[in-house]
Amino acid sequence: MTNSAPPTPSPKSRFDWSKLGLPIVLLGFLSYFMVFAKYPLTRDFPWVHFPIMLIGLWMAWKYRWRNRKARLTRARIFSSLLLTGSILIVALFCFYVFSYSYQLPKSSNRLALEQQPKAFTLNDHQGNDVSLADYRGKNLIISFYRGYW
Amino acid sequence: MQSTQSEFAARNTEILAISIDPPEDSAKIVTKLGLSFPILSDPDFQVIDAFGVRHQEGMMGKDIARPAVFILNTQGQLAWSNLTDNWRVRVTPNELIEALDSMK
Repeated sequence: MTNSAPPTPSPKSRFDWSKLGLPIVLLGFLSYFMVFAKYPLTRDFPWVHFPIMLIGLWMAWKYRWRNRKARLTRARIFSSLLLTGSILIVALFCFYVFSYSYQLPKSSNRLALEQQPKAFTLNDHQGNDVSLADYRGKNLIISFYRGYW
Repeated sequence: MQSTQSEFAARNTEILAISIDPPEDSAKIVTKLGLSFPILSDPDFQVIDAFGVRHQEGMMGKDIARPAVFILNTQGQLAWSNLTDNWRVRVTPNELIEALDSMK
């Protein structure tokens, strides 16, 4: 048997790595939210994730290609499902990165420069009253954030 | 923001964070992230509306605050603001320090 021999049904011992395409895409997807979103460098533009997900997508495609004439219908369906799943995950990620996170209202009624905000008093995380007046004579950075439900 | 705390102190600058979360939830975040500045709870949108940063139905149909950063100067006037157009992308501490330095 030479190297150029037509692909024979491969022995069971040889694992087809391209089967892992979908798990890799999924890993890329989840890791963005669980790890990389914590660091501005990898959050603002997901440099790491597009390569990971592209590799996964490519593997899923390869797996599908290999199984395009598989004798088992099951193998053809399974590889198609893996590829479709991978494409959907990548599409979802692209939607999140390029569209969903831009969905913010127009900021027409924002406080204008040189204006003073109304005085306020709110509870802090320990239940203490904190007033704007407490910060007179200091620069004050106020950061609003979305919160966690 | 936490990491450059001393840079802010050197510029006579304090920090407040504001969200609609109840104080108990904010307390968990303060502990988890080791924050040295307070998180204020604004469930009635009193301050969020005063700054015009309410995001209607921003999360699961519920109103929340959009990510936004304001700097008030020592007279309490608005000197700088950043309302990101993408809530994944936020202001960096360096941008704030540059803003503070340009205010003098």
